[in-house]
Amino acid sequence: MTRVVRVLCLAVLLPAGAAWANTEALLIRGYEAIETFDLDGARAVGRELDATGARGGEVALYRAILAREQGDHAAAVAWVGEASAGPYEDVVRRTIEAGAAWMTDAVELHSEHFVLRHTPGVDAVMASRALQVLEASYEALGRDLGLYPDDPVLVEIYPTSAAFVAAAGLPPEAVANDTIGLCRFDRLLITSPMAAPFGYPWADTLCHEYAHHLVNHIGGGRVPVWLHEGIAAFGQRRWRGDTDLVLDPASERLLVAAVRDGGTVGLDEIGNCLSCLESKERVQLAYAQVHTMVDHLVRSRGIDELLAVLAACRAGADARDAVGAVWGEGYAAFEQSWSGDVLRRRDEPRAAVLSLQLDQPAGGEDVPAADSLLADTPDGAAHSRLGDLLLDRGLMGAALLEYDRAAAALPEASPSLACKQAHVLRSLERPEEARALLDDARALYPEFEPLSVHLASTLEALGDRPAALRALDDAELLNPFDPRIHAWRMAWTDDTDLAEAARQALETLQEGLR
Amino acid sequence: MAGGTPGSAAVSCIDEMHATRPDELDERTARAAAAIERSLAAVRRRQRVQAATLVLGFSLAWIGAVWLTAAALRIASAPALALTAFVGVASIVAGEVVWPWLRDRGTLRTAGLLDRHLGGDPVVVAMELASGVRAGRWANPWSRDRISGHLQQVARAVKGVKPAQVLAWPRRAPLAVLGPAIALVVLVTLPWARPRLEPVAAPARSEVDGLASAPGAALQDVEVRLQPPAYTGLEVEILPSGSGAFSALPGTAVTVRAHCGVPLQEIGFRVGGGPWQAGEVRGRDGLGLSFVLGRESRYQVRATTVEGEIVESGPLRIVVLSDQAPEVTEASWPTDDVELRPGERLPLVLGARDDHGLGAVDVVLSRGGEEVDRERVAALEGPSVADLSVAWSPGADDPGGRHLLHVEVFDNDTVSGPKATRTTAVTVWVLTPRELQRRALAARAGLLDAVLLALGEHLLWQHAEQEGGPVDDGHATRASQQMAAVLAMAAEVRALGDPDADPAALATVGAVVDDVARSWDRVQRQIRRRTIDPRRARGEELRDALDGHVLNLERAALALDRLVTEARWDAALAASRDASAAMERLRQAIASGDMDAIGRAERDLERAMAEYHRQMAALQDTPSLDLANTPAAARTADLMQRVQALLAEGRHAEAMELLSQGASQMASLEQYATGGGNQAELLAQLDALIEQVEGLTEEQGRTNRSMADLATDNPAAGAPAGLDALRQQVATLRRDVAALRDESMHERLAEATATRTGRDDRYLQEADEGLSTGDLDRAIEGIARGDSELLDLVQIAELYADVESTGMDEARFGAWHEALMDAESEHLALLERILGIERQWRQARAEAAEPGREVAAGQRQLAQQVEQLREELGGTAHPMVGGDLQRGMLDGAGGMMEAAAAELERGRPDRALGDGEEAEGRLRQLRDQLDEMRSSAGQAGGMAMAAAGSWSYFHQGADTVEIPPPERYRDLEALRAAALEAVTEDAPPEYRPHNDAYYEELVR
Repeated sequence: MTRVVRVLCLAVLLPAGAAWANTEALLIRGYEAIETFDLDGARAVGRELDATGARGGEVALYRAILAREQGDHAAAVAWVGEASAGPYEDVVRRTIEAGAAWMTDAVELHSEHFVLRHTPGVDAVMASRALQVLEASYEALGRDLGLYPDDPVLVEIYPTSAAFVAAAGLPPEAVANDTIGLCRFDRLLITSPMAAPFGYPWADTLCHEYAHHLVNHIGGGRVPVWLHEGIAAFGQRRWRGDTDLVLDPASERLLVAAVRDGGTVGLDEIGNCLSCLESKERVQLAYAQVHTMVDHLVRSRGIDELLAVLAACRAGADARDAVGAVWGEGYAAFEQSWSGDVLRRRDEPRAAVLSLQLDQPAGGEDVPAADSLLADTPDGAAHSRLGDLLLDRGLMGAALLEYDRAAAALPEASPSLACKQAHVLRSLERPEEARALLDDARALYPEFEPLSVHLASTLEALGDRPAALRALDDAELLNPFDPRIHAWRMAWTDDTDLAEAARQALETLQEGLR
Repeated sequence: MAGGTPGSAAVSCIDEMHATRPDELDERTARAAAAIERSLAAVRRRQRVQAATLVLGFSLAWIGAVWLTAAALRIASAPALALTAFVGVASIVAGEVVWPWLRDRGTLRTAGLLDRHLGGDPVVVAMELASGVRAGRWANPWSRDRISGHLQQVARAVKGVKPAQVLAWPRRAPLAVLGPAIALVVLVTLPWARPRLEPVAAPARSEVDGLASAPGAALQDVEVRLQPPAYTGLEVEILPSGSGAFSALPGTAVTVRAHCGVPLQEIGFRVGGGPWQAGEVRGRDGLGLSFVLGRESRYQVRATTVEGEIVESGPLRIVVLSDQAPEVTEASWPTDDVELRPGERLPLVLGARDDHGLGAVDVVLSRGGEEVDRERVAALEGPSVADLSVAWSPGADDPGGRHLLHVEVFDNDTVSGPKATRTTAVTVWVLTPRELQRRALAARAGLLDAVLLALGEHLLWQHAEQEGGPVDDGHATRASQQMAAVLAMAAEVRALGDPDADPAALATVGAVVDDVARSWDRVQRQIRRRTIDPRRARGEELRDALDGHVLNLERAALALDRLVTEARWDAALAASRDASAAMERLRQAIASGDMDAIGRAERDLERAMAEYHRQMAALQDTPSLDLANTPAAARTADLMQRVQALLAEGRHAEAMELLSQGASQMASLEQYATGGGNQAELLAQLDALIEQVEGLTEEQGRTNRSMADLATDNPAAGAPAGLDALRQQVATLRRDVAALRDESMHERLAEATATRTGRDDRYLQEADEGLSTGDLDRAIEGIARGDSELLDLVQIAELYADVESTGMDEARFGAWHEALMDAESEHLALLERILGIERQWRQARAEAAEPGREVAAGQRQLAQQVEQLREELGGTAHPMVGGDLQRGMLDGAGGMMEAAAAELERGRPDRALGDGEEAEGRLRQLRDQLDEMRSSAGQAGGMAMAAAGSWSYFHQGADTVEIPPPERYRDLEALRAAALEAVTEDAPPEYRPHNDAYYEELVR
């Protein structure tokens, strides 16, 4: 009797155990596919799980993660609700719920190779331009890296920094260091430029993140972060057709000083999160380092060698060894060569603030009341404030004198002050001086959108309308939500399509901000 | 009879005297007797009139007495009877006093005639007097005394006869008897008709009633006693019998006493138609009543005799007087609406008057037609007239808005109750704290605007000065206007105050505005200096003053900006919180489903949102802190409209949701404002800047204060050490200033400071001496009266500027300045005269060069003018004008002119030419020296005047600041050059070199 019972128990339990062992193997395979950005493989695992009829918290969690990777927020939310409780499950749940909260009702636009989602509202202003940028990136980076993905790449624009961080599941350090874009869950996530007072180079950021996407797929998830970021930074302006190495003056100054003084960021220090470095300056330096390193490798050895490095990484090789191998003389030689190139090719750059913090815009003129330069210089801030007050009362000449005093009080040029000075100079019918001032400031702060807008206005005052429209384009690639861009474009352009697009953008802005 | 009366004794005495001096009666006596007889005839006539008067008087007196009795018994009109009695009494008085006096005067005049005609023989006079005595003429006591005295003299003079009583009672008793007899006849013969009375009660007049009098029983000897109410302070009044109707105040205690003529059993009286009340039977037929007078004026008395006969009076009416309300006159009274802050006093002055005394004074506050507050400000105790000063101030808890204020003055009527008179109502606006804040904020914003406008103008001016380009005098004019506005607004801000503002911030603003006023004074001084003497203007000093002034304006603007910004933020946040709370109330009302509550909450929210948007609009004026463009603010703009639309459609749930969003937006706004916004950061920056510039200013000011410390703290030994310390501080200041970033401005600041303090030690030593003794006047006077080296008044003025900073009072400064001004004026007049003489002298010499011209007389005349001038100069007290050097030059010039004239007269023109040149040279030398002194004096005087705070100057009578435009210099130069060229060409050849030298020097 006892034997019979034992046999019966074994007959029941053995198939069950075998079934669980099979499910676990499938899950392991599925997770490996996800980690190596093999979504087809991951989906196949999903189908197999369906076929086996496997259920349970683990399976639900996998399906939730798979749905998230595929951008199916509703399904992800549904699956994660069935997942077991636990620390990891909670992290996944929060990320999925955050993404779903913003993207379930998102507006979705399609281009040939991309799907763009954004929350209803003003972000519509940048959607079509973003798809243009992405398609250009598809072509340019495809040529560079030899990969043209077949599946549409999902791009999500989150309206606020908090939404982006929650949906991306970033650590607090990344938030503190102004992380605005991420390639994760097999899609591109960026923060809307609306969340920043004067925007940021969102087009380059999209291209940057798309480069990450390609590297993920080429390297199979085995490319270290420093190389990842280096390649992304190297390729972020390729969509423009720009092949020159472009570093902003602040990064350039940091890099030269660090190389000269031996203060560079170690690659090990970067680890798995470049944005998690101790300070914004270190993050900025690290980006400049890896950017110039990849640039140096490509310019010295060609893009194919970079692809060889990626292939080696995918094969499991150490990135530094791979670089050393393609360099031919080892990584140390490469690094030495790079350092020499940095010191040789970069003259002492002009002074610029490393990380400019901007204040809220002032009324009327979309010029920040103060940036960190002004804020840190009491004399300058006070004279600037007096200039604001005088300007507000129409005392242009006096305001300019105060602004000049503020500028004299500052250790370095302030972009917001330059905008104010330019505005007053234009009012005083001295546009040439305004242009010179703005050109100088833009060279130092190319990402400060008001400078471009003021330059456009100044160029228009000087009668150079084509240049003015180009300046508006530059401004749009930083802050497409500045209504002056669209209003002036509508007024200045002869292109009826462009004018109509500008009109629609204005309407969208007015509706969205109401 | 002869020896029985004093009169007979006197007559005997006189007769005796007469008998002993019969020879004395001569012709003179006969003449006098005739005159005396005539006089005595007049006396006798008067005696007859006296007798008739007395008869009439006594008659009427008796008649009056009878009638008064009748009046007392209510059978006659009291006024008529009183008039009769009065006439009677008056007749008696006339008969007893007036006529005897007139008669006696006539008698005495007779005695005087005797004196005059008889040579003053006392015996004769005594005889005549004795005859008068015999005739019974001396009734008047005064006359008797005179006669008695005369007789005594006579007696002493003749034979020592003792004087006798000469006067006797006149025989008028028959008259006294005759009067009553006549009266009796009249009374008997008159038709004894029933007396008719006419009761009167004010204001109406009753019908004429008959007074029924029972035969043998009537009220007699009626006496009314009135005791007015105590508050009036009036005395008790007793009306005699027959005095008729009377009037009294309510509350008067009335007591009536009378007799009825027949024995009485019972007395009753009643008020109006009321029940009979018992009176008091007094004695056999007397009655007494007592009652307090009320408003009722009808009274009736009833007496019941022992025989049961009832005697009733007719309705007795008493005129009830009313106590009048006080009269009020508004002596000092607002004619327009008055605005008051809590705690502020509104003084009111008024005069009050009342017929029986004043009582309390109340200040009454009413709102919306209802009395909301009453304050007793005075409690008077009965004066009839009073001048009142009343002050009212709203309390902290008085609500804001419009109030009506009036004063009520009460009388002291304790019977009918106090009656009040109201003054004209004053409309008072009690400002709420929020209104006060709003006004204070508006005033500060206005001051900020004014300061910024002034700053703008000064910045452009400063820039023009720094650039050294053409100076636009419009800058100074406009700056002056802007500064006037600034100072006016500053006064308004001070007057308004703001108890809720940060005291430290207010104090900072006050201090920097004071600095602005001071630095503006300094700029004005420099402007005036440049106006006075453009050639000597020291541009760097004006620039220095201007820099300091601009710095102060900047500080003021920043401090005000901070204050205004903070207040606007506070107001906006308060409005935001109110709006949030209103939203929440509406949400709760919607949840409750109470439509009335929803309606109320909706209206509340509408008001709150309106205020919120108003405050947000106010923040638009604060450019860098503008919240209107923030997403939260922008999205609340149409919230109210949308909520109302949803409520109208009955979509309450959606309205609630929208309100929740609105509250969230409000919260984010508040978070922005109070937390991560840029306010705190900006304020910190402003604080830091203010601290920095204050430190700089303090450092700058320390150098001046060191001079003051030198004078006051260590007068004896401190001077040299103080100077060293001063220089060390200047060096320190220069280092500190150099360390600052604004090189251009602060370097000049340092240079100016060093220049001023490191100037030639000469005047610093002078200053030290003056300061070390503490006698600033003496120091300055000593310098001013020193030798010619110290007459560089520019330096003195500079020194004075330093001395001024030690705190010397304006009076002494003004006196010194006046002296400078006088000296300058004298200089100018002297210079003009010398120039005139010089011009004429040159003309005379030119004429002398022409053959045949007789010019010696003219030259001699000029020499005399010079001599006169020299004499005047010798009499001038001021050392600058009456200096020996100048007098010597004039002496020399005059002598040479005299010599030249003499040579011409002698026919030696060549020698005259030499003397003339010499004279002209000396005149020119004197003129130049005076011109130089005038220029220096003008500069110093101008500065002194500027420091004294006045705008006037002898060249610049107007109060505008004029900075000569550059065209003026150019034009003047061109003019001078043209003049030089013309004169050089046209002058006679021998004079051309002199002309050249003169005009070249002039141009130079």
